[in-house]
Amino acid sequence: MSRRLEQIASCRDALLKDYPDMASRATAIRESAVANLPALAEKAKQSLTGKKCIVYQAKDKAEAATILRSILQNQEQVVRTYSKTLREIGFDELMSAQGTVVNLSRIEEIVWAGQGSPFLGHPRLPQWDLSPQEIEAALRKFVSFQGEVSPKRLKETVYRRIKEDILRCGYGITSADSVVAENGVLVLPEDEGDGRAVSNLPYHHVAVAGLDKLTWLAEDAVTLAQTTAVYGMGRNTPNYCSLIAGPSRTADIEFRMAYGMHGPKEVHVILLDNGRSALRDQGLGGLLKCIDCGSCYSECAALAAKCKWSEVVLTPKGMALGLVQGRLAPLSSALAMSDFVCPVGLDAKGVVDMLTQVKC
Amino acid sequence: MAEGTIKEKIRAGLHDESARVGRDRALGVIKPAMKKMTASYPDLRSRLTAVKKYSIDHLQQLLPQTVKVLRDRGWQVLVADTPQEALDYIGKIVGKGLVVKSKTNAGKEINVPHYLEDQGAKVVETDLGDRINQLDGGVPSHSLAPAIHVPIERVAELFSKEVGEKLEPELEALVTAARKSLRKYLEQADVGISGANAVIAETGAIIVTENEGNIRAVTSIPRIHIAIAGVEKIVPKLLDGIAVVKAAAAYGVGQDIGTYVSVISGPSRFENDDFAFLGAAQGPQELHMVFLKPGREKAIADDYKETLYCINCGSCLNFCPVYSAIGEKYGYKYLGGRGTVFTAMHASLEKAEEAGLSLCIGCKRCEEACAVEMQTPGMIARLRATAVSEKGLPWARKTMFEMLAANKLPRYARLAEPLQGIATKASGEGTAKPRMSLFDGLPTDRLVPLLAPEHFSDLVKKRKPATVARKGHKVGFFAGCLVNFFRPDLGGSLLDVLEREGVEVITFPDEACCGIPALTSGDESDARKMAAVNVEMLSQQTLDQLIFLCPTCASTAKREWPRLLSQDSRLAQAANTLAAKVMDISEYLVKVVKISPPQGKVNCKVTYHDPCHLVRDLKIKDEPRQLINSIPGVEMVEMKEPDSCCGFGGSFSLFYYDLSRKINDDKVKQIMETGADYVVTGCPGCMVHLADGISHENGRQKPMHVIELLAKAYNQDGGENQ
Repeated sequence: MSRRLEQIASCRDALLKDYPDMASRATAIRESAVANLPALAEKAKQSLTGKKCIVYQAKDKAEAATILRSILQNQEQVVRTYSKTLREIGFDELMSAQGTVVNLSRIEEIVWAGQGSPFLGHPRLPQWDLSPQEIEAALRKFVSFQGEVSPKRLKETVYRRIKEDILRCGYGITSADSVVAENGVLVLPEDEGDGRAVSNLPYHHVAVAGLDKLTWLAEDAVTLAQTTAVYGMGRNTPNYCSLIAGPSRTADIEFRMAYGMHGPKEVHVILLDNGRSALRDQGLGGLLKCIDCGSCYSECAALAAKCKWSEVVLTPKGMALGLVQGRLAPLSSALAMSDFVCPVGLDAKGVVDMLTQVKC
Repeated sequence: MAEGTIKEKIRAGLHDESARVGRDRALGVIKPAMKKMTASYPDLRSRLTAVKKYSIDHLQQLLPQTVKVLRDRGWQVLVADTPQEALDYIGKIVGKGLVVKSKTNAGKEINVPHYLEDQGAKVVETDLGDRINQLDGGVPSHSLAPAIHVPIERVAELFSKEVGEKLEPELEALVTAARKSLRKYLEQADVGISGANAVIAETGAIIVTENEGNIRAVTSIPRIHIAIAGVEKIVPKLLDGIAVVKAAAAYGVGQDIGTYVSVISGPSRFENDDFAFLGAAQGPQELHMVFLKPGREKAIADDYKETLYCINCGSCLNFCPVYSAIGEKYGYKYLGGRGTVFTAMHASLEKAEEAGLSLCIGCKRCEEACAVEMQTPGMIARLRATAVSEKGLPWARKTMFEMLAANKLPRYARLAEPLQGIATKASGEGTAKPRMSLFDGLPTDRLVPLLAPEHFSDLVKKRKPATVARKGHKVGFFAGCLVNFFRPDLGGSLLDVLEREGVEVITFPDEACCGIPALTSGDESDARKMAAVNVEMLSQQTLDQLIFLCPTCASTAKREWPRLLSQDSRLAQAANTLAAKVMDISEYLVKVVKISPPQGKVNCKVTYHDPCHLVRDLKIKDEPRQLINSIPGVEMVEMKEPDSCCGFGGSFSLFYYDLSRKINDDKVKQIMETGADYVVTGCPGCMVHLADGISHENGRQKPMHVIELLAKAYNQDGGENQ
């Protein structure tokens, strides 16, 4: 893992020479968003509704569960992408409790599930240092393949199976990296491309996003997506970035509006609080600036070491949410963080100070 | 000959009622939405224009840079120097496979669907409108809502046949059926073909925008994705691409953003490099970018690079009176005036002429509406001039313009005037209708103005010399042909008003035509002669201002005379000096004279029509209204779209009278809806055409020039008038 993190860090640092203003822009965007969270949330609700999304507000995990149950109660199967927010509210357990099968769409997550003990502590790469054989073994388990098969054929089978799941399900579930208040747009950056499929092919799209994802402008959201790619992965862009403004629509027949032409007919957006407002109320909104890029892992050995056994994401925001939700035990004062490179102006001492103040 | 084709196209376009109804419906929604949306994003246009200007200026460097970044990100890239190169490349990938396709102008440019079907492939359009046209065998009637002319009953028929069961003409049911049917093709397709709204140099990405979700599907379900785009689509940064799609939504359809914006930076891949050996994940595994170069280099080399700024939003079409009248018949592959310019670049000048190079009426509504501030009418004028310099003019036009250039019109007007009664039948108030239609432009039901028995120069001679002159207010008045020979009374009204204010007015009995009829036909040399005569004559006087009643003459003097005479060592400076002094009478009265309102009452209800050259060329729209509103007793009511073109276009109404009439119809309807007594305007040309149109509708509105109304009020200060 550390070798990979070093690689990411050196790519990041090389890229930052081409993007000298990236951190100051990201910081300004996040500071403004955190400072104006209630106004942003109000505007976002209006804009999302204006784009014909069905908007819900979930105060906590329990409310989110109620909302999801009401939307998905009759579904035999759903398909979802990989999402920390869905994990935060226990989506898989909720579905299992009502007998709904959850199909995964992201191959990396399928392999983690097949491996058994994923590193959930890292925001982006829960599985590290896998050999091709380990990956193939996990995939083979997924499609119940016995015997000899080329990696290409195995991958194709996995791919087709996932595609069939996505095409069969009536509901696709994702989160969003940003929710844009200006125009009610959900922003989904990704590499594999399953997020595009899950949010486009089923008849209904359900997106769960924490209030920390709110931002004013579409340009801000795209800037943050690039920032996350540079700082977290050492690349200057995610492979895909999808902006979604409500359900699919067409006026091609006699210029009369109809919904659900190729994309979803309904888009449900659940805005999740679950401690985000509480953090702000406790004066610890600074921790919400964090965009979960994972850059801090490249410098801070402690984080890298801890994330193997952590259920909770160990970015400053991840830890803050874990603490305020009671999923993370109060931190001992012995928590040591080394200084790290951060796109939103957080530093080790400041983060530790704030984290020790978080009240559940 | 291109003219025959053009006449055919106009006829076909005017007769296609269902397309027209569809267009009207769409434009009725889009235009107000666009006006509102673009007003809320005032910086968008300047930002986008700067981006496109930079991109085209640096295309030489940006293109190889973009190709490299695309390849680094895993795209296979072809930069096609000819359409055939692109077609061969795409054809080889597709073979006889199944292709699902989303909108691509570049693909249409090189006829990709036909080429592929000819080699045995099956191409399925996925955009609902395009699919309807595909099943119907029809052509797209609008750039963004291509099947808007197809009634829902026909759509039901088409999809019933396609899915093999009877479908009701009910919107929801048809959309569901279309979705299911197209989803099947999408799932089975070997290749997806798309366009690109922009190509991003920074990150090696394309950006695409839509409302349906078919582009997302086409670019994610099939394992091979081919994107086709002209090299002019390249922009430097990711955020520049966002500006492009935002502008396309706002200017094209009045949305703040398309329902979907997708940035695609390479074949599907994994975040974790450990997985890289697997190849692609859930998206296409093979990504091809086909760039088209033909015509783009020519555009840059021949100084038409502005036309490459175009983002194909269609905003110009939403406001173009010619497109509104004849739809997709105006243009070729790329529609409208810009389409004809681009056709000259990527195809040929001949093709551009067939596409309708001569059909632009010069109203400049497209310039106002354009997301990147393109001056398309100017480019059209240059292409017309090139066509004339290469091939000459039809003899009738050449004869007419040579006559004007030799300044023979005054003499011919005197000769013709007494003979008008033979050729025309008077209709009262200085108008008449031709007894016989000698050519298309003068049918027997067209109301034309009669030549006046006395020219304006005669009236001037008869006037009492004016008294006290105000210092700094010595102006020249260039009357123009319509005032000189048809409506000298308008010149009289101007003299009445100006002399009242103590302004010294110099008139020019030896005026030549300003040159605009020759110019709009591309005859630069005759126009130049007329400019020279006029500039020579006008610069004999020292003037504070050069005043016009006709904004067409004014804008010609302001913009064209300096350009035409720029190489004339003797007159270039004089032309520039005069241009700086050009002023419309309304502007002069309000801004310079600061005229005080009349005391005399004129009890009437009026509406005001903004002439194209006055509102969009000279940018005057408040002053005429101010003057009208200053007259006691006048009730002013605005029509729905006061600044839409009346359809005259001068010689345009002679060459393309049916089209000119059709454009006029919309204007006349608006005018009659106001219930006004007079339609006041600032252009004698508009007045001619409005009189014609109103007479056809048996309307009671009388056209009036602003100066006429003012003179009426001033001429009886202290009294009332109806």
